[in-house]
Amino acid sequence: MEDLQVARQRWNQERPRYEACLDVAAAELERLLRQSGVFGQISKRAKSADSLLKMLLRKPHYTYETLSDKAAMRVVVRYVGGIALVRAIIENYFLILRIDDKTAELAPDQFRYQGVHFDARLPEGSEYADLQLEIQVCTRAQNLWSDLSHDLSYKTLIDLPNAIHRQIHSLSALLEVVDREFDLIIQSIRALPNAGAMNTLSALERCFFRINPSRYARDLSIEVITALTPLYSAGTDLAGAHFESFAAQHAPKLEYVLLQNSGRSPFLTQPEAIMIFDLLEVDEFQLRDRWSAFFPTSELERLAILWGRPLA
Amino acid sequence: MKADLALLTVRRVIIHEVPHRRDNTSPVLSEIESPMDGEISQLIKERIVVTVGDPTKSFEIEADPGTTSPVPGLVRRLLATPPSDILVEASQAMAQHLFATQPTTSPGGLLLVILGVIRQSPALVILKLEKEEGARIVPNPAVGGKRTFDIKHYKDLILTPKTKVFKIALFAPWEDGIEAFACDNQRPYTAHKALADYFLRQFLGCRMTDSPNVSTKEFFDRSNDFFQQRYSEDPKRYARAYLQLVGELQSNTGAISPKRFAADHLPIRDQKPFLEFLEQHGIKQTSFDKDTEFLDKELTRIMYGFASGTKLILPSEEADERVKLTNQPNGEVMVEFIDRLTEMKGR
Repeated sequence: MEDLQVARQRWNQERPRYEACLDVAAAELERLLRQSGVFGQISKRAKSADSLLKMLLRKPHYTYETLSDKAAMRVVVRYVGGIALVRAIIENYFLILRIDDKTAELAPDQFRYQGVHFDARLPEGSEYADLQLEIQVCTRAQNLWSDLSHDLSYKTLIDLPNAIHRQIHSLSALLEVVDREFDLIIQSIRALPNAGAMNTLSALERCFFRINPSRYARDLSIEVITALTPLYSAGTDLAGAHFESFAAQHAPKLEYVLLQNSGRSPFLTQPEAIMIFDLLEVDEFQLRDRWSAFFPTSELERLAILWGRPLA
Repeated sequence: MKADLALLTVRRVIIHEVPHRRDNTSPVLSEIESPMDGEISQLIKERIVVTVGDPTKSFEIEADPGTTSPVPGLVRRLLATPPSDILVEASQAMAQHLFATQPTTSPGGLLLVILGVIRQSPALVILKLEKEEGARIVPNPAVGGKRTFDIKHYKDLILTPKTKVFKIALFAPWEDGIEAFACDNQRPYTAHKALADYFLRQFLGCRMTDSPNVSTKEFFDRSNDFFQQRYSEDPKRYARAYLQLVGELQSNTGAISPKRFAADHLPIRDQKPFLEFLEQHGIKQTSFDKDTEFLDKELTRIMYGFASGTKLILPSEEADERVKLTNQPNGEVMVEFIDRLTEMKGR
């Protein structure tokens, strides 16, 4: 058994460096997610000294040195498909010591927490490259399961009857179904012949999340996209390269306008702001004409001012 | 405008009171800058964008080499790199000069001298606005009793879209020189010149970049070229656009804004292509003073020319009333002309 007081002293000394390491790692990961247009909510924590000691008490096979989650980050993605994207980003940037893919470990008839955990270090050259971090990647449903299961089982020392285990596992199975069905529903909707607005939104979202990866009103987005799409000529690749190209061409300006004008227009926190700015460049006259049939002209006027092109 | 005002960040502002000269008073000068916060900065920026940033209202100007105004020199020093911290003294000198040059008919007001950046490059804005009752420069105990204008306290009076009339000029370095734009919301719609002479020439020491008579002629000719190309299959539409162009030039407005003309007179689908066509032919979107000196013949009479060699010439003000065109399916046009026949003769 580890000398707990020695472990406490060491951790009290080392914890500030781990916290600084987490700050750097989280900021870098957030930047990389933005760059890729991937939505992921990042949380981080360095264990408290008490929590660390409790872990050593509960899991005596670990030592201070081998305990890998003294400092950890969690990235929560919206859909199962997002895990592979985030995983690729992490593997590309961090020095990976170990990958624990909970999904791959499960037998077909087993149901419990899924998600991917990495033991990782910042790349060589970083001030904190000697420190080990745990990075967890999971969906919102998996995150929910992770939180619930802490209360339900593995942090308790009570022997649970099989019936309760079965309840827990069936709940886990249910959350897996939630993730899968959610993905399937999204894919099915996007494949519909009339899903153009949604696919356009996905393209806009990728560009928008690079600047402002926050939640927005999707129904408003769909309304605006549906209203404005007829302004584009047939064949414009709205679900693909069109907005990528516009966003790349105007990257510094988009970032400035979207982030420096907080509170000036509700559309600045919506991905379709990029479409509106694009159309201001393409033909502000037709945009104004169409916009005013659906939304208050004053809002477009405000956006045009923020874009530096007041309407005539 | 080459500088992108969307990227303007307003950093510093100093405000002086420039009273009505008839009052036999002198300017009340701030000794320090006004306190600035994010909201004030944003409000000032938006006032700038909707005036000098709006080509339907702004005019491109340049320093007049023959001027005796100290303003161009002060502008150059304020925009110099590295910057010299002369905002207080330079703005005070500007306020004194404005007071000395404004006519006695001009109302008193506040002079705001604003420093900002567009990307990494400096920008200077000089703004004169009407002073609201009660807005005063007062000693500020927080900074050793130095006089300043509490812009936060009066922001609702002077920085909202309801802000009373003002004149504004923006200067920003571009390549080897300085690009400058001015706007005068105080001018009556029918004023002969769009910018008050005392503000543009005596105070700012500037002049319009483009010669009004040349700009007006160019606008007329290129607009007509566009209409001929765009409406080659629609003679009725072409005739209408041409008459609208003539009407615009004959109207008693003092300036022409290509963008305003497009928005007011052309079908929506043609507005952007019209402006693009003009730009391709060197006509900027910013406004310019109207001078029809080179267009007297074109504006006095209108000639309808036809493939057969037939010509119909009549005074332009009669054209809309007497001539009716109807497009025919074969590309020809039916012309109805109503008048009293007074003579016929062989030629």
